[in-house]
Amino acid sequence: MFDLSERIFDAEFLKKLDTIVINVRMMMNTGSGGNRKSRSKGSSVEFSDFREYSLGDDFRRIDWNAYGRFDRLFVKLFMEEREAMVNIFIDSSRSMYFGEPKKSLSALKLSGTLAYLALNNLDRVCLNSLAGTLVRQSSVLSGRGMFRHCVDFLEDMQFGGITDLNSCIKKKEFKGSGVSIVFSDFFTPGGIEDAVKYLLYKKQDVILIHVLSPEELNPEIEGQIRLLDSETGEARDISVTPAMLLQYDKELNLFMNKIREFCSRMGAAYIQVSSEEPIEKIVLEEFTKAGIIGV
Amino acid sequence: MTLFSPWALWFLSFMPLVVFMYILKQKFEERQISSIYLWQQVLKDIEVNTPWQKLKKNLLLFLQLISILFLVFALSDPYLYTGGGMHSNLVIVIDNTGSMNARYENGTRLAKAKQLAEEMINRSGTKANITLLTVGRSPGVEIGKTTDKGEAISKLRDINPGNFSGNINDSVSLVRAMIKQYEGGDSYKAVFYTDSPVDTEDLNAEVVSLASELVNVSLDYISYSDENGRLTVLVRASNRSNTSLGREISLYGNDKVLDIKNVEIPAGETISVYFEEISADASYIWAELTEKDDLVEDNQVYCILDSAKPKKALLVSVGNVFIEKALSNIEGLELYKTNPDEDSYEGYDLYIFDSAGISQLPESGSVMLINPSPGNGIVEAGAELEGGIADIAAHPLTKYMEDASFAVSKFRKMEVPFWADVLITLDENAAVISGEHRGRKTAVIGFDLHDSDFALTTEYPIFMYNLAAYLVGIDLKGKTTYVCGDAIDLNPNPEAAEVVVKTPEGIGYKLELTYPMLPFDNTGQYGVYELTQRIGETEVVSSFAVNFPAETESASGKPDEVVAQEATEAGNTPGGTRLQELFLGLLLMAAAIEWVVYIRGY
Repeated sequence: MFDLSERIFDAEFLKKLDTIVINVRMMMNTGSGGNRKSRSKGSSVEFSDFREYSLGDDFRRIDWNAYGRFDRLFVKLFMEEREAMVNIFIDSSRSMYFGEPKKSLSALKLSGTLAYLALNNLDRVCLNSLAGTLVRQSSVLSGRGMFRHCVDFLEDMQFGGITDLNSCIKKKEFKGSGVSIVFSDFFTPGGIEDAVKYLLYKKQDVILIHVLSPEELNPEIEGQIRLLDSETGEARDISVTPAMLLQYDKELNLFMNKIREFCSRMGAAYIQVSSEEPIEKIVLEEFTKAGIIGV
Repeated sequence: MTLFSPWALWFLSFMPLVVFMYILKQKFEERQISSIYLWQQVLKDIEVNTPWQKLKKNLLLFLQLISILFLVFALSDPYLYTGGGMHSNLVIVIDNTGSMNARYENGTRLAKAKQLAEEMINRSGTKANITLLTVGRSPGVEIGKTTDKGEAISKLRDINPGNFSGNINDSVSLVRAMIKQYEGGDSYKAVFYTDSPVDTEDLNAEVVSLASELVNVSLDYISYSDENGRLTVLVRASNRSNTSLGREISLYGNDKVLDIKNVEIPAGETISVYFEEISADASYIWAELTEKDDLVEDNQVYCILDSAKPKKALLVSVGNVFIEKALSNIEGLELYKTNPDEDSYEGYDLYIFDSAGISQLPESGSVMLINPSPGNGIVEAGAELEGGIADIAAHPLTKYMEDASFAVSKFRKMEVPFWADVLITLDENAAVISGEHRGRKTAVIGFDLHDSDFALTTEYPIFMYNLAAYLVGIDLKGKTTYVCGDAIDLNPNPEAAEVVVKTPEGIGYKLELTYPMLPFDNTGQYGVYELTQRIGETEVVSSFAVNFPAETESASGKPDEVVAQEATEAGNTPGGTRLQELFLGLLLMAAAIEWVVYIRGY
């Protein structure tokens, strides 16, 4: 297997990562003081925002000035500083162990990177391996010193079989809000909509990282080909023509756009990366562009 | 349809082989991918599960099979029967007389004939023997019994228009003779492309009529009379059309316009146009129609102006048919006869005394004595001697007589005067002499022509001509007007060392001075020809005119005179078209499409 610490966490890269903060949209409900401003509107003194009064809200939070002005009831929201809970889900199906470079490698490296950033930010991290219909999770890790455990967990991960993302993720228990990042190629029967909805229901900031290999993004095949599915073993005979490749391209774009649009509707983030892209580029450009992290 | 090379069909057996190889070739390269999830979406509408369905969709295989089919058919040399008569032997006769230069559709009759003949050749069977004849002034073989269509067509295309007068019927016997050469009684067809009526007799012949109604006026004839240096010129013009036509006739002297007249000629009529008081300061005159019509070759006519008057010769004799015949045939020499009763003779250029006594020699003019009597005043004529075989002396006047051999039974012995040359001897005695006596050219034949067989030899008329030409003193003018195709006896001066004829196109022909002199027959072009004779240091130039044979050719080609005719025998098989080239073309097209499909990967 690979050595994460040697390939990613060189001194220079770690120095850069030190200045990156994971930006999470929702504020945490509970927690004991992380290094990051939680989006969770809590009861601290720092005023954050207004929202309309709904049944069950603490009437002490009603802003009477706003009532006097608008003749409607609004409650104040306050910023609360608390640590986030970052759950990283990695699809460990057979299809992820494919590509040149392998998608699994890319997913694990990115997971390690994000885990490091979260730990460095005094956030809690939990790594989850999705295999079959089950989720195997690590213990909740906190503090920079626990990064080694992350590495061990990631290194032990095995890729094989078929993964039903929906079933796996729905089995995850959440104690509070947080950030859920899912690494997968999303070639899963049933899609991932149920999983995303579940995560959102569990008050998670959902980030989907769609990892694809160069062979999947730009297949270079021709002639008479018998395609073998690495997960199911199913075969398909095709006669590759330029027209067919064009059609594949269309289907691929359709596939990605479908997930992208769904995420956009649900308020989840979606990033598509290629396994051949350098990790630094993905983290510093793609993740930054998506607003997952800030410099 | 038939196939000339049906053995090529064996190659069709390759087709199942190609199909079989294609099926075998349907090997799929296995490739493991992460997931066929996306490919399944792509393949939703595409079903390529079984070999037969794959074949059905395989455009390349289809194109290759089509290509094999085209190739096999091309190799088998298919022939599609379209009717008309395909024969083993094809004899094509092209009328190349002057009338074939007339307008026909957008070209000429000859061009149309060549085009139709070429199509006929292309339609003929692969192994057909093709013979090509043309008829100009006489029938000629352009190419005989060839199976090479390309060569036959090349010869056909090389046929140049002619201005000759000819008769297409003259070719019928030649066609018959050519057909007899073909072996085994193979079928044949003779095709005549002409604008004249043809009697094909019993030949299996087709006559393609190229006769047509023309708008044509021809200039048929030009002549003149000289009155004290002023000419009156007659030009005869004929309207060969069905409608009355107006024309402008221009008269030229050499290159200078002398006069112009406008005339109206009724349909089918001939008129005479006179040009009067014309200055005679030219070597030839010619007339031309200004308007161009359907046959332009007959729109001009030429005539040489004779600078010399004809010479007059007086034969004083009781009757000598040998002399009369020999001299009367000389152009430019007018022969008169008289009995030897006259006391004096005047007014002639040459006096011929045949066994006649001379009371008084004429004051001027040349003299020829035949069988002189004593006291003739020119030579001393002695007693009669027994004759012998004549010896011809080398002399300009005996040119072309080297092989002459004749006998004389008796002759008069002559004293050869100092002024005379001996031309012919008999037993070393002078028998014929010539020379200049007191400024008068004189010739003496010392025997009666009836006493020898000289007049029966072929050299006799030559000798008489030479003698007459010498005695009269200048070149006797021969005939000066001919028609295209005429073989002209030029009769150059015996003393000429070189004779060159220049055509109106400027081509010079150096004539071979042989005996007998071959007629000059390069008279295909109408116009004025120049004859240049180099005699010693001087050059003597004369001209003669060659005109288009309007009398025969301008009148030819009336549609109601020519009957188109189909071949009487259909032959063994009907005619048609070779399809080999078509299939080769289709094969190339299929190969091109296959290349495009392969490159684009359809």
